[in-house]
Amino acid sequence: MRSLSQLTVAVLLTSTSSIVAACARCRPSVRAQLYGPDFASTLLLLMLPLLILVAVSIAVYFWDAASGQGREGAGRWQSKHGVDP
Amino acid sequence: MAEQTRRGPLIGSGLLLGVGLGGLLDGIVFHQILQLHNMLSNRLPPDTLVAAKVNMAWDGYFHAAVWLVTVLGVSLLFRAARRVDVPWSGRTLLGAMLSGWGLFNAVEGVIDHHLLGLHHVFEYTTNQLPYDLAFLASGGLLLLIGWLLVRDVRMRDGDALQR
Repeated sequence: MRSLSQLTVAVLLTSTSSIVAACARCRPSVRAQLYGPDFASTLLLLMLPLLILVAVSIAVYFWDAASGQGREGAGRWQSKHGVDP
Repeated sequence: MAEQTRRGPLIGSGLLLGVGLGGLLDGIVFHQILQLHNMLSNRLPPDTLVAAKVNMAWDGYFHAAVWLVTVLGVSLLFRAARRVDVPWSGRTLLGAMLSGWGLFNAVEGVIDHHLLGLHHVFEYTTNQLPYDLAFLASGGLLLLIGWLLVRDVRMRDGDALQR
């Protein structure tokens, strides 16, 4: 039984050792590919949909909010519509 | 004089929460569990360990961004909750969140899948279009359900004010 456990551990270590070595070897390659000269442009491209969506949401937030400034802090429970429909 | 109510703050913060939580769900379900829809997978197919790790890192930047959008949504919702002129409605918030999620699917789908070609929903097939179109359709459906919920509350409020 004990020899079987030792065999299992040995097989596991042997089979995964290539992955461990690959990680040590591939990490510089990953960093080089990721943080290259086009990092900022790629990041901007990936963030483009989110930037548009945030801009739209903030526009909706402030679309009719400007005239309500200065009335913050009273607590929502004082609203005449203060319950869920 | 009747005080005017403003639903923009509740809808705007709900949209942000929908975008953020929809993006996080997309990341958890598609990127991580199903191993699909990685951010740069059409430009850099994740078929080697290095390419998969680079895609994973870009997924991480995307997840960080949608997390920030979620935090912004919570922050603006908190501000909206303190205003007396913002009618508080769970249904409006839910509708806005579903609309935000739908908008996320639609805008991300159109820009990333169709215009920029950064990635597709399911890369591992010769015809990726049906999956991309299904993603867009899910966005349209969520947007419609959300809009109907928001409109339903507005109509009820209108009826209540007329009575």
